[in-house]
Amino acid sequence: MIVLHGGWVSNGSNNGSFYLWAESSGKALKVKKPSAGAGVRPHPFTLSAADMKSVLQSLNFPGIFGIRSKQMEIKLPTLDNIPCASTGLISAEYHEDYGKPELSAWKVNCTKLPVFESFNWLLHYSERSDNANPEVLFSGDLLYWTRAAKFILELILRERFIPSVVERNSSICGVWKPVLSDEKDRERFKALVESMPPVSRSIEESSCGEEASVQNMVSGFLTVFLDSAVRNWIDRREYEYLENKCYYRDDVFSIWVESLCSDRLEIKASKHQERILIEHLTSWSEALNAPGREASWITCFKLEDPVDGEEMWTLSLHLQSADDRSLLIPLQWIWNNDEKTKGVVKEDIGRLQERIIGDIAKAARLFNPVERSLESEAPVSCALSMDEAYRFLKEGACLLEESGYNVVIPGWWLNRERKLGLSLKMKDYQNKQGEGEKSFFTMDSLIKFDWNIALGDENISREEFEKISQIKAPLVNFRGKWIEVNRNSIQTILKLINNAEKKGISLASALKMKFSGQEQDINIMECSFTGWLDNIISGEEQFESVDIPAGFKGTLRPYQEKGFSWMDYITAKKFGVCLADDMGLGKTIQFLTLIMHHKEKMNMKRPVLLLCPTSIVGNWKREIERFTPGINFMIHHGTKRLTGKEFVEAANKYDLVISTYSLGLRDKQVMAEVDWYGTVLDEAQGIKNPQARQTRAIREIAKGYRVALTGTPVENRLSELWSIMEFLNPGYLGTFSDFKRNIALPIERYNDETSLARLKRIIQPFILRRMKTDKSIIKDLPKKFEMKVYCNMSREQATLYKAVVDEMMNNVHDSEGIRRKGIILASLTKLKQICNHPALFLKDMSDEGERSEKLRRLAQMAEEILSGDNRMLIFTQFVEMGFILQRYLQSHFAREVLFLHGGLRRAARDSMINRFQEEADGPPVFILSTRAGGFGLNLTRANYIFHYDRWWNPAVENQATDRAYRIGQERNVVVYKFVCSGTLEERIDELLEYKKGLAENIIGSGESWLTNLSNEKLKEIFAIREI
Amino acid sequence: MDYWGYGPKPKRVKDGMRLQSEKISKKWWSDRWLFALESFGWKSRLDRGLNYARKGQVYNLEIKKGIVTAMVQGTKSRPYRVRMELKVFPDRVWDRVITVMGSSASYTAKLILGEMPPNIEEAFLSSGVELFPEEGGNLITQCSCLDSINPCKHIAAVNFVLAEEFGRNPLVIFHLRGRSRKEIMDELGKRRGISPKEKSINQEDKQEPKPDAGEEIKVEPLVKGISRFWEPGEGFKSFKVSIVPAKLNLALLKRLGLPVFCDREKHFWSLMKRVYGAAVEEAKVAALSDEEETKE
Repeated sequence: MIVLHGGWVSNGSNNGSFYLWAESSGKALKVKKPSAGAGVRPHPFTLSAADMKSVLQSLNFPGIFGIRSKQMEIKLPTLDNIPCASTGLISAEYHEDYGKPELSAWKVNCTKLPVFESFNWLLHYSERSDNANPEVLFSGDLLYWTRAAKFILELILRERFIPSVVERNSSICGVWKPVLSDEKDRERFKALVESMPPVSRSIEESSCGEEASVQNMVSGFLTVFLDSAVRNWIDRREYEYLENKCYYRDDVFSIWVESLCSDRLEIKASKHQERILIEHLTSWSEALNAPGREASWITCFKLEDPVDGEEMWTLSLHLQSADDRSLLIPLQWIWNNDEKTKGVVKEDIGRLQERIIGDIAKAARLFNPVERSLESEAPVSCALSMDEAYRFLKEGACLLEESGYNVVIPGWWLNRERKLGLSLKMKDYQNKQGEGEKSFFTMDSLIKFDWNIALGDENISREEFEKISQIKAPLVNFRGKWIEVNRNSIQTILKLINNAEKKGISLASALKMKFSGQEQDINIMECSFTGWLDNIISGEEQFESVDIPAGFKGTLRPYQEKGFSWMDYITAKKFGVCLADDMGLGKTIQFLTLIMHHKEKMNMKRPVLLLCPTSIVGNWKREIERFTPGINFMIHHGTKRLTGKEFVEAANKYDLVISTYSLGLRDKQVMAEVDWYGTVLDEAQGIKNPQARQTRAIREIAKGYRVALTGTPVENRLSELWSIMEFLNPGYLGTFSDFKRNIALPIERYNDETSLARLKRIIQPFILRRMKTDKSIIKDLPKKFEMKVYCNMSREQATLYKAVVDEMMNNVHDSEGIRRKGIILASLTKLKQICNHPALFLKDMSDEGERSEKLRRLAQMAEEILSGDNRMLIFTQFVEMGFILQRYLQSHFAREVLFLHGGLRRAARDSMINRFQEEADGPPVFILSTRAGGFGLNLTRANYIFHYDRWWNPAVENQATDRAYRIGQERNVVVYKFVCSGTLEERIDELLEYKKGLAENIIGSGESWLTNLSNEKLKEIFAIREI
Repeated sequence: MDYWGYGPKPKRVKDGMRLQSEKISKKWWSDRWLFALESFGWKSRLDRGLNYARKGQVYNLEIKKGIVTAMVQGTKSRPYRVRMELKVFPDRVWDRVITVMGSSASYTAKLILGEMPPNIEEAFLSSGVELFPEEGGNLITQCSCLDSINPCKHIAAVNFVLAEEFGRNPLVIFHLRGRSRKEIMDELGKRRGISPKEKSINQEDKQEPKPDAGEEIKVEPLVKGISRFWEPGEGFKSFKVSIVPAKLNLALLKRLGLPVFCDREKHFWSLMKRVYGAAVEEAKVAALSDEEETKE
């Protein structure tokens, strides 16, 4: 794992460079305690320049040829003569002493990035999804600079920058300068200054040798990046045109423009010219520091509709009280300057008069008709033509307001509802046979609507609308009120009503209009559907709850009953649904109930296809046997699986065929031949990559109703969400690239809340998600619930397991007493190791996740858990296993994982516990060896607990569980106990369950009871059982 | 034709006040100043100074009440000293002028903006004087050169530079005639009942330009940050950006107007329209471009 840091190093004011440097966990793990030496030493685990280059390449850095590396001295927290690793870096616990770190300088390999390329690259960083290279972690300080870069993008989009000059070193340069005069921008600038991570300041201070001015750093960064972006984006042809056209190329204006638009930043000017540029540009841009309107009276411009029968509009001038915005005084009062005025205004009227004249003069620059009012000695108003009034509304008012004046404009303009809009009501659908309501729709079904053109809450007839649309003026008086008439909205409305009447509007686009409330530039006041379609779309719970099928053995909690009925209702209408309940809320049994119901009540004749990850096939089997034994199912998996026709024939004899995602691709052809009654995906991340062949194959196989089950909050992974939706309801979210551009990227890169809210509204009809933490919905949940997780074994695991069992059985046959006991116990340990991970048994330490199904399953579940605000504990009895888990999970999630074991000093343990419990963004995964961490500790920040292997002693396991499930715990606690299917783990687990209570005393004392079993019994318990 | 072909070239002046505009000025009052000089027969002589002004031979221009001084570098090693005197109007004339100015808000308005009121000459005429120099020698010119013709080309050169200066700072003309902008404003204010001691809001002397973000923001010293060395501070969590383009284009520049030294208005606006348009369009693309997609 590599942790990437970023920093800005100033070079004078308004100039500087952006650097990257990195820590490498590979190097950090190998750091040995150095002998204290003199002078500044090289940082022991900084990434080399060459490695940095390949890291940047893997992260799609666009300007790889422009980078330059050098060593810089940076002061870092240091302890024991070794720099402390940043939060997030995996490093060995090499510090002997957990004292207070102090700052000292280290030579660090820094890479200087070209500005424009790094700007683009920082913009593309997504805080929500993975990097292009999951091995690389962006540290908090680099994250800081990504947001600063995004702020610059916003400033450019909002056109908050002006051309100017800055003094750099001894010369002056033309520059595109950010303007932060808006209140909100000033606040954000302040936030950036105040929240700069200390490490970034340290880089600056180490390089300039004195206390850094954070303010200068931030404004330098903003100025240089913004300038570079604008310079690279502008159209140089315009400048070249200008240059060619100019006969006189040596005047201030020309040299300034040249420096703004070309690569020659430095202005070659005489002192005389420099003086003109600096002086005049400074006073020029000063007008933007909106005159501090501490004044108690503010000049105010009020647009008034024309009086009946008149043509001209009036822009009247007033003074508005800063304290009471409703208090408007006509300017005439100020010119009269009598007792009445003095009583109200309580200010030096003469000065006020002068200021008002100044204000009007300045306002006239922004909206020139105002100038007319100045012709009088005592200006009070000016008359505007309709076009001028329209220009005032569109532009003048906004400019005046920005410049610190107050503006009062007619309410009809501000009122969004007073604009043209459309409401659509679905026509009752009669199909040709006259069978009443259509029984199902697809997303591209065309639906006809009754329509109404509306203006606010008034309806407009078609004749009136046509009359309005023929008027060429921008403002139209309609029924005594003014409205803005925009050519584009008229076109949009005409097109929509035409479609609504004749061709029909597709369900997908109607839903899009409904949920966004607009279509291009017109308002969609209403878009309503009829009948059951309305039920589904409005999401109101108007569906009847369905009787629980008799074949379901068990009880459904009320929310599960609801989930089952919901799935039944919507799938019956041929829409796909996603049940996204939190892990542990019983998605499996809700779905099994649905199959059972179809079998009992719906005369289901064809099989349902279920695709899931290999590791949970066994889980399904067990749940079916326990809750719905009436479902005939077949598992299509493994080398002995059926092929071709045989498969199709066999499949048709069952209610349910369970198979895996990978076979969905490999056996695509035979699977596609079955006419499935429904297609279900469990742990829908199997189709998370929309473009993968596997995903496309699964979409081709799918028939019948579609259901996806997932425990991950879907809005966290947007491309996965699209993929799931495309499987469930093809076409609903549009094409993948449109979806990405319009919804996913704005959310992922810029946390765009409007897009996120809209997306949630759009998917809401087809997704049901209940959360464990939601106590108000799920009142009947226990505070702690335990669950077993059944995992298969990988082929490697199975082979090893079988070999050990065979060897043991051979040996026990010829031995007795202590020796026999020894053999059994040793084999027991080996088998448990194999179930955990082959590497633990073989000591070969190549620990990729592929080799152990248990580890894979753990990683999958952890991924879901960590996508929410959760923390987890993992207990294992093997210290070596702890290290394997730590290494694997750290590199898998690129996040720091804690591991507490007996070999650690007290101080190290305390620091881990403290970080897990107290740190706001602390490491969310904590591995503990059961022996060292199974008792005494208080880890209530965790709400998920995993027992990776079993102690066979419920008391010990419970005690470990109680690290989190104890006083101080505010959330529900979920406990998972891992069991390898078909192995002794499962067998012993069954025994424990069977003898619960009674057995606790007997078995609880340890594993020695196993050694007293007969050879036959031993074989029964130890040998692999086929699933 | 090269003017300098006629004789030795003047010595180069480092940082001389070279004319910046192709035409002297587009401002009517600068033209008016030159026209006034031309009108009393100086035209041909003035032209001789034009190239000196263009070359930047003039420096150290100073404008005081009634007096303009400047240095001009000619062909000789020693620069010439130019001095011009223009009659300062007496108080009673200014009184009348300011009364006329006070009768229309537009005078005050322009003065506040630092612009030349368009009907200003009328204000002076009605008080019986001419703002710009008239024939008959109320402009006295001197130069330390040996040229017997007055005005010499040095004086002429200074006049061009002066006219350009007027273009950028028009109210200097009033100063030359005996009243600074501030003094006029104070008198206008007095007539509205403002006592001159009080500083009026629009007359504040230019203050040091503040940094864009206003006041100094305090941050803690670095050593205090060791415990959270790698993380942004609290305020960062709520730091959000939004990528919605401006509703109104060129709003800032519309508020600022043309920079005063820019004499090519059309070019300025067409250039800025293109710059802002292109920057915003490219920013939209960059915001949502997808390197994974382009790679495939």
